[in-house]
Amino acid sequence: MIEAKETIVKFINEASWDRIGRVVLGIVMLWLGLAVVDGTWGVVLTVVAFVPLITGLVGWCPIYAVLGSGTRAKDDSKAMAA
Amino acid sequence: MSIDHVPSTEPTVIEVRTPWCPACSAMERDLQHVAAQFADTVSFIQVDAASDPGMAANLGARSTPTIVAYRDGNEVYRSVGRLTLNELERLFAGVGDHATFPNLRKRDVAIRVGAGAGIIILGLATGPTWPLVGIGMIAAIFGGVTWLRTR
Repeated sequence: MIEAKETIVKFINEASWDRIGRVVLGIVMLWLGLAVVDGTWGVVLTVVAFVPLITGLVGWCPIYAVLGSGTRAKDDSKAMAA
Repeated sequence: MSIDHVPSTEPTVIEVRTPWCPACSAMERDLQHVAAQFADTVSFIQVDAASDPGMAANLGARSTPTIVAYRDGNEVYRSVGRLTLNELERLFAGVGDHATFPNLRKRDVAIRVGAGAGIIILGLATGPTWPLVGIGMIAAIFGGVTWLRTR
């Protein structure tokens, strides 16, 4: 039972524009944290960068899942062909 | 088919319904007919939102009937409201057809490999910054594995 539910729940809940935005944001933050900003702020930027980067790469946002919302349905739902 | 046996990769159509939903009742006969017609290629599952509201919420269904179709574990179609017999036939026929419903996992591959390549290039261009190169390689490998799984 649990296995079957997990299979369904794992569906992507982010639209493509959302995912690309998160990935770009994550890359910029990683670059700033690792190559530009020194010290504590650099470490903070690097660690925080993994949140948008990973959620963007995977396509699944836990906050959307908790709230029962998401950007995916509005963007990717397929209308029936006429 | 019971909800206990949701296939992860097979084409699957799920209807979220309630016993008192008029549109669900009106569509029931057509749905069962088409599901039986495509039983060999498309799995069909009905979720009763009244007895299993958690599953209905997991499927993102806010009203009934909601019809969701999956292929390769990814959602490829979603609609709310009654579908005609003709629309149901096209849906069931299309779920297994990549031309009708393009495999969304191709997007995963593009985003992951693209991000990986971008991070690697950025890492090489700035120093090189080896941690960036390493993270980029992980992202690219993630995309590569996704691509291998979709072949």
